[in-house]
Amino acid sequence: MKFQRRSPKRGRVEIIPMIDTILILLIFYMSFSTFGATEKRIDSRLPLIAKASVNAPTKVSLDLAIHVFNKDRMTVNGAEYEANGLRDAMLQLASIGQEATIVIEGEADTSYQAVISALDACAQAHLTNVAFRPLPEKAGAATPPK
Amino acid sequence: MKLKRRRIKRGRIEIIPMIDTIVILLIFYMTFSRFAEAGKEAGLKLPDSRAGDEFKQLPNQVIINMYNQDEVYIDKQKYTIDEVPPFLEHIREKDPRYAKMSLILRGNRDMTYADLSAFMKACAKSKIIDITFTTSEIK
Repeated sequence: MKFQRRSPKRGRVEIIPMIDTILILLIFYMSFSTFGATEKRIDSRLPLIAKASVNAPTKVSLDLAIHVFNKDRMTVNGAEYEANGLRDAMLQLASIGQEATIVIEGEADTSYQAVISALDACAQAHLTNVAFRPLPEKAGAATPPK
Repeated sequence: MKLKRRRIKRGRIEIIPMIDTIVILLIFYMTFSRFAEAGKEAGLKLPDSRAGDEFKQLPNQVIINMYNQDEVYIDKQKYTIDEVPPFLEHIREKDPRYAKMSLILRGNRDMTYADLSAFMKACAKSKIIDITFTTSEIK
């Protein structure tokens, strides 16, 4: 008896589902690459604030007070800077190895972005001892620098 | 002359690409649901910064999403800033993970120093001094 040989099936690559899958994966990775790059964190401790709430005088030594008016106008102990200038000043301070306690304060209408720019300048100089001075309870604005 | 009628092609569902697509969509939605779980408000525009470490949430950290003093979101629930300290106190008592609580502030870039100041006063009321500011990386 003669058996008929089965012809072996040739494997083939399905092009259309492959294109579908690759396209969806592409969209997936494109969206997630945006998420991956976005969020960062800057840590801070707020020693002044805890004391401010009980109206006790602060014991933190104030080496530097950064008063933020807006992104283009910040003063450090009276000297005026914009965001990039502030970063350079902070880097210079860090390079001479001086330990500084930095207190950031602002006006009631100072934008959060401007405050974060000041914090960013400190973080870039690896100055981590940063605190914030809250606005006075009723006056609505911080005391401007002398 | 006799015209030949075209045979009507019967539509059919392609199973394999459908499975591929469904699996990928499943992964996609599972991942996005994790973002939602993490308590992040997607509509917030974070301030830009150059410095900062990679975002990471520790077990004792609570994410605060803040548009302004009257619009603060924690786990998708809306609060005013005055309602935040009692809420934090409540979860601190309920969950031992939060005994040494710290906060992650995801503040909208349009909020003001007055809003930030109100947030800091709320932190002081809750006796929290470890605050992490979330920013968006400048490219």
